[in-house]
Amino acid sequence: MIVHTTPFTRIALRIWSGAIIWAIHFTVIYGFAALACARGYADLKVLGMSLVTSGVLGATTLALVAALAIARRALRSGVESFETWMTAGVAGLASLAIVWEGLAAWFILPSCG
Amino acid sequence: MAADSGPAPLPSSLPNSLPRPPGELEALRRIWQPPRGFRLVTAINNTYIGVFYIGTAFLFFVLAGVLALLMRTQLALPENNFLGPNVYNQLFTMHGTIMMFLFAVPVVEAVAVLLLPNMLGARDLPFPRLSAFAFWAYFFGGISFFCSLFFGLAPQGGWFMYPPLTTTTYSPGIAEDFWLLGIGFIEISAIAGAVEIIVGVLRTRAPGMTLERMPIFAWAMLVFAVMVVFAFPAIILATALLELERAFDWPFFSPARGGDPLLWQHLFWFFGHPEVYIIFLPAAGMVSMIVPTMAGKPLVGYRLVVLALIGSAFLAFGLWVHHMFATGIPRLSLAFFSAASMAVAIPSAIQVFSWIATFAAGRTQMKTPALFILGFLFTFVLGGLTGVMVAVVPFDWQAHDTYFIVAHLHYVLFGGLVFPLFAAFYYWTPAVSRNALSERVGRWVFGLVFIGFNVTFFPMHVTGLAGMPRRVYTYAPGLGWDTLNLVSTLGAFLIAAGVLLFIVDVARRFRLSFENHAGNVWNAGTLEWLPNGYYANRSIPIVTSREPLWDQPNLAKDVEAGRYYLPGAPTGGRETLITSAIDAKPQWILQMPYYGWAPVTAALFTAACFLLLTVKLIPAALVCAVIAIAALVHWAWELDPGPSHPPVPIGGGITVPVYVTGPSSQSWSAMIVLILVSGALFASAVFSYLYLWTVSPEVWPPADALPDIGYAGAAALLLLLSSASVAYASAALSRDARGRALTALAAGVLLLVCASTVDAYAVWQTGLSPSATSYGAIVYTAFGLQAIYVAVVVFMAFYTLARARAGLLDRARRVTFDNTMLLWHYTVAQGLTGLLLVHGFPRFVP
Repeated sequence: MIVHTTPFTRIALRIWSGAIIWAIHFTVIYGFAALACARGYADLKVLGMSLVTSGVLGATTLALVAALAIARRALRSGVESFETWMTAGVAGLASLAIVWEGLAAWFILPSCG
Repeated sequence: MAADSGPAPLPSSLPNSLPRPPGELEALRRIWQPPRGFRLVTAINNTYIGVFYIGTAFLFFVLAGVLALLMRTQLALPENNFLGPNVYNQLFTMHGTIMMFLFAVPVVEAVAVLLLPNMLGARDLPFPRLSAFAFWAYFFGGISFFCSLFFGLAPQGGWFMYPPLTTTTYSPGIAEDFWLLGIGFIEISAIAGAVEIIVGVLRTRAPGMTLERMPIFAWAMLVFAVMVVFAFPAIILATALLELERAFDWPFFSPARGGDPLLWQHLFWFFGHPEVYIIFLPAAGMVSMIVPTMAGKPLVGYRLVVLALIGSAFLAFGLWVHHMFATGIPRLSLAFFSAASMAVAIPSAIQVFSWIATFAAGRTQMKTPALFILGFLFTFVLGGLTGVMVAVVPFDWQAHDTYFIVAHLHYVLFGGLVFPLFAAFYYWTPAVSRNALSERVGRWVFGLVFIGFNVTFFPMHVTGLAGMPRRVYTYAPGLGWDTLNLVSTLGAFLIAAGVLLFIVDVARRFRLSFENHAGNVWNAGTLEWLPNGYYANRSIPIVTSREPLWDQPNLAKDVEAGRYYLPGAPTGGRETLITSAIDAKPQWILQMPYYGWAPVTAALFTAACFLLLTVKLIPAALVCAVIAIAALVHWAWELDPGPSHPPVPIGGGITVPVYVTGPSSQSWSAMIVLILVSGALFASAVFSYLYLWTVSPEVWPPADALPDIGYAGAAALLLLLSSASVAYASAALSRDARGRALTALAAGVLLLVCASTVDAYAVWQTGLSPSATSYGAIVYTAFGLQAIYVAVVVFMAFYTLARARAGLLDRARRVTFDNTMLLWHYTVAQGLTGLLLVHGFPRFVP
């Protein structure tokens, strides 16, 4: 009989979860901004900001909350393993990248210039 | 959180006792002995393939370097007539292409093929014939591609081949086709290597080598291979699209018919930027192995370095547009990529600080490898800093396409790969050669290369800022570039002198030997320095720390005496131990193949097929394709040996099976990786569809001009039924109802083919032309891609049926069926997504 051990797919996805959230966030903000600009929605306002700015900031907030939640869960799991440390680390690094990239929408105006 | 953990305790007694039975070691030697004489080309041992691979990659480095010297000679003086513009264009195109595609990526795969099995404690990589095939495909493809230079058939479009310059309008002839087909083919070889590396690193580690105890180079190669899986399909699709435009006038890149040249740039750089990290991360992995040995201390911040490798890998996929800052993309979009380009400096810096801290913590042996590492640190950090400069959009607009960029990319690539590689050559030569390379000569090599490099490329920053564009074959005097160019040329010849001296050193000192090599001359701590032979280690050790040779006294002696796992060959053939992916517990024994002609034959005729397609000799290409497929089928027929041997003891009271099926098998893992590659390829096609729609919605048809939705519904239903049929076949095979299983499989083939036929008819009956608009082109491409997968799956189904007829398939021996089933379900999922895209998207998104 084969010795079945820790399930690889679950652990790998857990370690990569922060990076996956970063990838989704990056795709969404880039795709959304590109599409909104190409289709002429730059002037629409949402919450007093341009559609692009508010959309990107909204997506950034969601992604950041998700990445931080993963990091927090890993840190509080009480399991002191390499995999848990790496899950928290990747999610932490992803959080930094998400904030750094999303903040561009706050500073770059007009969004479609 | 826990700090990095120390060594784990060893079991109270080692798995096997002494004395070992007589003849055990001789049997191992006999079984793993490679062929002699001319038949050495049929060898598949990772040691030989690794050395062939490194030698070939280095040959391409030298050839591309010679091209660089010719270019620098031309640019030494203003208005020089040494080379004409056409030849110069060919040279810079071939220099970049060869360095990136035929040297940089292959050489790191080559080092991995050579070193990984020993470093992991395995006897070989899990698919040695695949490694051999990947190498020979690269060898034949690369040599043919290089020779195009001698026939005036080398392309002139630069290593990134931007259309419209590379379309038939501006580049008639077949030179660009050589590039497109050749590079597409070589990328397939790189992907084959990545499959091997992923499965090898995850499944063939020595017992006890958990993820946290893996050598950093293995981590780097794992990350490298995952990046190849997701990045390379984009360039394969890009080259296919450009070739389709050139050969059949499908207008993906022609704005007049709804195409866009920027689509090429997106696809190319989605591959091209990760490529920089695909090159750099393995080199960083080598550095992280060499620095602790030179310093005599474990790597400082191991976990942070692993985090940095993973972090660099994912951020690298968010950088591609920073090569396109000057293309008119909206500023906000540029800002996202600018920010990501700056963010990626964080993981790179983590590694740099780790290496500096490790040096600081120990007493460094200032030998040649250490000198090259210091040269790497100086050079790469400078390249990284200018990288942050060009990540700033306004600066990039000034420096774009000038010699500043040439300087930056060479500081990153030469600094980030070539210096670590020379360090690696000097460091690991004693592991595969009777002699180490000469320390005295090595210092001269380092001095010449380091000084030559900086004399060549540092002035180029200034030349670029002074306005000299890249890729000009000459320039007028008096622009302030004359002296700078002359200095750069002198530096280039200094580098050449260093490389030449290195070749002399290798010729004098390197004597290939896997049984009597110079050994652990550096007092390194990792497993590749264990005594070994053709069979790798005599027995497979239990690993309790990251530097087992430092932390486990007597390890080398006990491994060589056969006191650890699998000291012999209990099945009587080649074999290696498969362990679990996370915690490296022994699971089963993988029976491995012997050498043979199939891999080299398949590679030769696949390369010939691509070459003949380029020169439009279609019948000859078809003959070559048939021979290549026959060789592959011959090769595959010997796979899946079935439960031919009872479970065997490996020591320590552990008895493991020698054949498994399902998710635990190595073949299942490889198929999952292949499906990820396929998914990335299809995602690139979906991106292309959406991108073309974004830039040219006017060529998308209104809903009433689309095929009736009933066709899509029928095709979807047929696809789902075919998947259900195969799932039923799988269940029937498990119950040993073989007849029902094979009937269901055959029914599945019929349903799958019917689904594709319905879809083809739906598109065809609308009169849609692939050459009229980019919409037609991308729709037919999506259909064509699906048709290729259907053809492959149908071929696999017939192959499975043939094996069943030959009595080689049953409920226990079902790996072939499982492979077919996995790709089948993927093909159905891809087909359903394609239907949704082609038939649904234009209806729901006006």
